[in-house]
Amino acid sequence: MKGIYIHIPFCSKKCIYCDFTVFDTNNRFLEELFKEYTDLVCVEIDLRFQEILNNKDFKTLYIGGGTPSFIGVENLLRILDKIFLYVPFSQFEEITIEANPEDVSLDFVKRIKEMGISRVSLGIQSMSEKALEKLSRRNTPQINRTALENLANVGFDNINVDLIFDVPQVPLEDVINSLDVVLQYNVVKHVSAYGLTVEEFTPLKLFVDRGIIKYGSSFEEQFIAIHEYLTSRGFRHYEISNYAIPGYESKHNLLYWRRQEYLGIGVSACGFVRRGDSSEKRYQNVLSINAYRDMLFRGELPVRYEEFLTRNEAFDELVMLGLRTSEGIDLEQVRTFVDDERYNIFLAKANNFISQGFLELCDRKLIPTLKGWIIHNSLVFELTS
Amino acid sequence: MFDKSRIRNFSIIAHIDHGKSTLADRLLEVGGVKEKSDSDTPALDFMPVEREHGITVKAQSATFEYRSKDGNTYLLNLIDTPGHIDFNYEVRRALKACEGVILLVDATQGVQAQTITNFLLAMEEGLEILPVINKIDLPNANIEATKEEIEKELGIPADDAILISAKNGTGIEELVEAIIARIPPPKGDVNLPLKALVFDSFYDNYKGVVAKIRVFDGVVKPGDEILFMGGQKKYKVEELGYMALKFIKKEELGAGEVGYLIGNIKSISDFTVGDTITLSSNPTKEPLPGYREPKPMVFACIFPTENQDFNDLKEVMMKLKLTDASIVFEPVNSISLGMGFKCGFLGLLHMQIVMERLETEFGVSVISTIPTVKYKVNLKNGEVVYVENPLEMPDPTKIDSIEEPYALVTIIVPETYIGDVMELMQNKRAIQKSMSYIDSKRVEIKYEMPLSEVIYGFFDNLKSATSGYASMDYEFIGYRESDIVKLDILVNGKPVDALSFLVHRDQAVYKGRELVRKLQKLIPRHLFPIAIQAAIGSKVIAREDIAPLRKDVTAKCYGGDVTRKRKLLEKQKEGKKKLKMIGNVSIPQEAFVEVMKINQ
Repeated sequence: MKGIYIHIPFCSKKCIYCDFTVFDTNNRFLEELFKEYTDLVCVEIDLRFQEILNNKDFKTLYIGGGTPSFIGVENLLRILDKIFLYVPFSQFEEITIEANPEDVSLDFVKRIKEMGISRVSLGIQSMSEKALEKLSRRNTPQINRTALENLANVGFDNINVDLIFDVPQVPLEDVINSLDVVLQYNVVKHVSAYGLTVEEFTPLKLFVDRGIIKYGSSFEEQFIAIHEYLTSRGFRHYEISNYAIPGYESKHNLLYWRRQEYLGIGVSACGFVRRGDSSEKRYQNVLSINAYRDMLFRGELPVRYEEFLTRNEAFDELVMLGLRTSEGIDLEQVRTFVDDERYNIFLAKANNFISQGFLELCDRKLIPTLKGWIIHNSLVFELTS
Repeated sequence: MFDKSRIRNFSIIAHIDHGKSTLADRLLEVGGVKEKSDSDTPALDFMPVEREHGITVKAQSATFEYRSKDGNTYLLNLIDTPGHIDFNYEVRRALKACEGVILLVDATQGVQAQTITNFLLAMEEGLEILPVINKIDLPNANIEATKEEIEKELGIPADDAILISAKNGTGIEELVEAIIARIPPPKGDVNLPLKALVFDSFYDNYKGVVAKIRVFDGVVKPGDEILFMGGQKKYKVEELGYMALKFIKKEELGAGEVGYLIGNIKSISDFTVGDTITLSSNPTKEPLPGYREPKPMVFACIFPTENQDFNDLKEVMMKLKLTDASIVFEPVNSISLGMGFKCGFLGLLHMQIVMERLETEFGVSVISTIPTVKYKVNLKNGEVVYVENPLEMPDPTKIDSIEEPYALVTIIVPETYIGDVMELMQNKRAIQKSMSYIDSKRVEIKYEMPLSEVIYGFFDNLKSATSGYASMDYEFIGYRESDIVKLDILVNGKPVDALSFLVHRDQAVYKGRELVRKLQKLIPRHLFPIAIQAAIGSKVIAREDIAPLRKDVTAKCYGGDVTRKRKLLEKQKEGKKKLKMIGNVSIPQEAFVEVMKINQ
């Protein structure tokens, strides 16, 4: 199974906590810009698929950003049509698009439904006015509700909502209230709940460093409360930040965590491909639209860097990604990466974590516990060093 | 071989910051060794650490030719000396190779404590002393007062002192003429058997072990088989010549000359600075009188951050010993830190410099225990043991009494700062012995105080208390009984032997609290709670806790994040090499460094 990721790097306004490659667009010639970008993406799709002999394994498509909904339906349609030239629509098991609530008009929803999109990931972030304000988002609780209603009315039944918790000065009850509101819509089958992260080089980091925003994290408390809330309502906590009604897990995102292949298309998009049995390659596309355009015009893949993973790097990834999910890591697989000596050290460390309640051993698999997820980085660091 | 009568071997001695390295640069420019440049970095300060501290640690030497007004060309050998009080031993070594010294005095500061110390060292060696007054271009230069001080303090005439400004080059040619006129040429006889002194050595990555030598009698050539008389080792000379910021190959070095020598010296441990070299086919009867052994004053153990690096560290310590004969060390085994070395240093600055050189020059990462002085422990059974390391402290029940080393400290300070000095000394357990005016404005005060108080950053404290005006020197005067206790640091109940130290009981609680507080800040959060305690015997005197990690997770990790997160992980693993595991707690190297500072 393989996936395709398409990056749309535009937002009407970049959020203060965001460190993705996104361009603020106060450009007057937005229409032309979006149209040109769509042309370029289509060129890249052609280039990428010319190299691929067997297209049968592609099962998921994910259009993310940025804000894909922002570039308009016509452009999205052209991208999808291009993809369907190489991979027939019927072959896809999941086609997801990210959308901001303010873009999800009834018309928009109807059009993307016609296009064949099966899953919508809605960036509502919170149902608390205060939290949305703190995060300097453009949507309001009312806009969020309207978006959910529009999606439900048109017949989308596989909706994800993105929520942010652990926002400075936003109490737990606001977080739980947001969940209450969201779950009133039974088309919401998936919740991504992210603890706010103060990333380097973001305005948020600047505000926190200068004391403009006071940030004493209550991550652990809210993380556990959300887990309790959602799991008691039939959701399965299948990745650190992701919950789904069983059967509605994101097939595309699971590819990442299971180290399966995906093509990345668009400015700054990343991809992971295998050649033969052992060669694993990760690449990232260039970060600016100008460079992207120049390289495509020259008929080159717009790649910024590519690297072939060493065994050690692959092992690090296996542990890092595997421990993000409730599937955990398979000990048999670990054994194929390391020699006996290192395997024994690994087991000893794992046993130590099991006795401390951070991991569980189940069916020859190491599964992280809730307590283990909270300190995921430490677990990965110890187990891989 | 150069005509002996036209050779001059000399050093510059001075109080720290009196302009020694700048003067050395000017001399090299006059001699055509160094291009005139605007750079403020002195050419002779070779090591990165020296640049950082702004002082010269290692004696470097440079040879240059100079055509005098008398029409003859002279060969001048400048042997640079370090300026800090920790390094008197190196000064002494350099002086052995000279016939005379330039005694450099800053016209704005006059005679200072180390001017006197260095002057006395030169007198002991029977060297010709050329007083030179520097910084005469500065508006606050007081040449007459400086001359007066030289005459009064040092008892040598200063009428004909040479006035210079090393910074702008005033008086440099006159100085070189004076060196030629007043410093005697070397004695010695080229026809006698070879007798040469190894006064310094270093390790060159291309050439291997390089010895710096001063030939007293005879001649040495490439191909000669030489004998190190002390070490009784024989080597074949492969190359020799002059040092002039680079190697200048020569056919031979004869009596009176200073230069470098490279032999097939494989094992650097066979080799000691201070040894006498002669020819094995025609040896000299008597070796040169040996150096006085350096007396280490400060002791600490150093350990590689990763246990398996011990052999690397051993190799590096041997190389270090080559360029720094004053460091003494022996292997030691610590419960918490594994194999390492117990080292003796001349002073705390010397120790810091060694630590920095290990890291920057040799690329080994080390941690050190808290530096300590050598305590004398009288046991109940009448035995006496000397303890240089808290680990060696005998069981308290067997101890009758502990004595600590005392020093006589001489401070010279302008009278306006007397109050500040006295206030500082109150906290240092110091007893004032005398106070006298050395001129109308400056006072010399002598104190007896524990050596441990002197070595832990006292010089820096004194400098800041007196806006930099005070100068000081100290000498060891013997042992005195003292109420010394061993302070242990426990991490989650486990004593960390490398963090324990010996301290006077009156200061134990304060220092214990301070240290525990610092450790709390430096040790990262772990998956479990950590308690840090300071204890004397079984009595806990301070405690701080480190709460366990509450959040160590990345919220989002999708296709675009994998590489980035993996790189972060790799970086984190790199950083782990700088951590030392104590039980299951990882303690960063900085913690051990901070602990060193606690005593200041």
